[in-house]
Amino acid sequence: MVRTSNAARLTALLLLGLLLLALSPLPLSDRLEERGGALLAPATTMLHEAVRPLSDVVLHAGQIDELSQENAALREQVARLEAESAALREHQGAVEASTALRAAAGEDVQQVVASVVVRDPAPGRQVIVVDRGRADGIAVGQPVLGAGATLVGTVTEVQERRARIRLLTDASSAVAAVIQQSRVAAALVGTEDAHLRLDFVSIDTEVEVGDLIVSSPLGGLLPAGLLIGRVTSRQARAQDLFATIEVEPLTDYARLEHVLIMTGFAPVPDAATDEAAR
Amino acid sequence: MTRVFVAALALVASLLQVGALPALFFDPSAAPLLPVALLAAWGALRGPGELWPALLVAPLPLALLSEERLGWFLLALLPTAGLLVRRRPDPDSLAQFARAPLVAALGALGYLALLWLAAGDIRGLPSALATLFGAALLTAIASTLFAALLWPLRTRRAPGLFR
Repeated sequence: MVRTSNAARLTALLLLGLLLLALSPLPLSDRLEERGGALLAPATTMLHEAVRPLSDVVLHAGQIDELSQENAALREQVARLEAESAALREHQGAVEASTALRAAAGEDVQQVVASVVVRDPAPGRQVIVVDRGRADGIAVGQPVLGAGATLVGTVTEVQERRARIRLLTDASSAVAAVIQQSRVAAALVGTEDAHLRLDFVSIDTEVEVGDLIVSSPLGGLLPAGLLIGRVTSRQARAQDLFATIEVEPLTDYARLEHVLIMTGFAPVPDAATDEAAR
Repeated sequence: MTRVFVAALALVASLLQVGALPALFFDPSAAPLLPVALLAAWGALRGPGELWPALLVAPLPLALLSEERLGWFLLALLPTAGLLVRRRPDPDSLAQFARAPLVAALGALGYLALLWLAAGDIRGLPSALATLFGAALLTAIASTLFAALLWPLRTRRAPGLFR
């Protein structure tokens, strides 16, 4: 009985299949298949995308060994090229920095380009060590310029092939400076938090945010007119004698890699000392 | 309810056939025929009685995403069903299990040959025999896997109250 039923169903399906084939030339069947296909297409696309990672593995299974060898060779080549590229970039950066520093400082000034080799690891110390020393004409007291020929510090200690530079932001640094717009002289000091502050500016002095601070030749320790920073804030209370003026360096001291040491400048500490003694 | 379940399984198998398998084989025509494998496994383990709705549903995705007509796909699946109708397996016997890959392989050959003829490429059929047999073999393997999965659902001999 079951067999008969199944055979009947099988025959019915066979007839249905033939009927469908007979009807397939009708335009209606085309439209139905088109619409049905449009409905199913997203599902099949989704399935295809879902198995794509697996298919990438399966279809390339025979090439895995070859690909892995090629990959290793390419990685080695990339590493070598990256090393060469990095070395070239470093060299190019050094040349560009040197050129920029020399151009900014002026060709007529005797100068030595030095690379920063060490930063003082002591907390609170804003001191760097460069790879030039006495043999290169470096001397204590010489001004040191950073990017854009802005003053970043002075040489405080010299060895044969090394020199130590105290940055202006060091808490023990103090240099003579001038507010460029008002020509008011002041002392630029470093703060404990590695910033700059302009001391001894009277509260009556007109200082605007954005005013430029340049070095002052007063005392003979620095050449005149070296850019240092820009005023970022000014606070003054009526009972104070001096205003509190914050200065932002024009150079990011944390990113100093190359500096220009003005070997042609000779500070006159003796004269300053003598004047102070008098 | 079982028939609906089988029909749903067959629909999924057809969707995988058109959506997933072409991405997993260099030659999609050599891929296993999942609907055939599923129908063979189910029919071998539980008889062909539950397959009829599945035979109506399974060709739909294949035909709707193919240039071939729905009627051809329906006819192409019939050899599988026909092989299952011939003889019921002994319940609880390994013959149930062994029948699945055999029916699948023969059903796949019938399916492929019919569709090959439907495409009108009769001359190309002999050169494609290796592909056909390869697909048939893979279909048999897939059917064996399906049969293993469906083995707990096989028909069993009723213990009987007076035996």
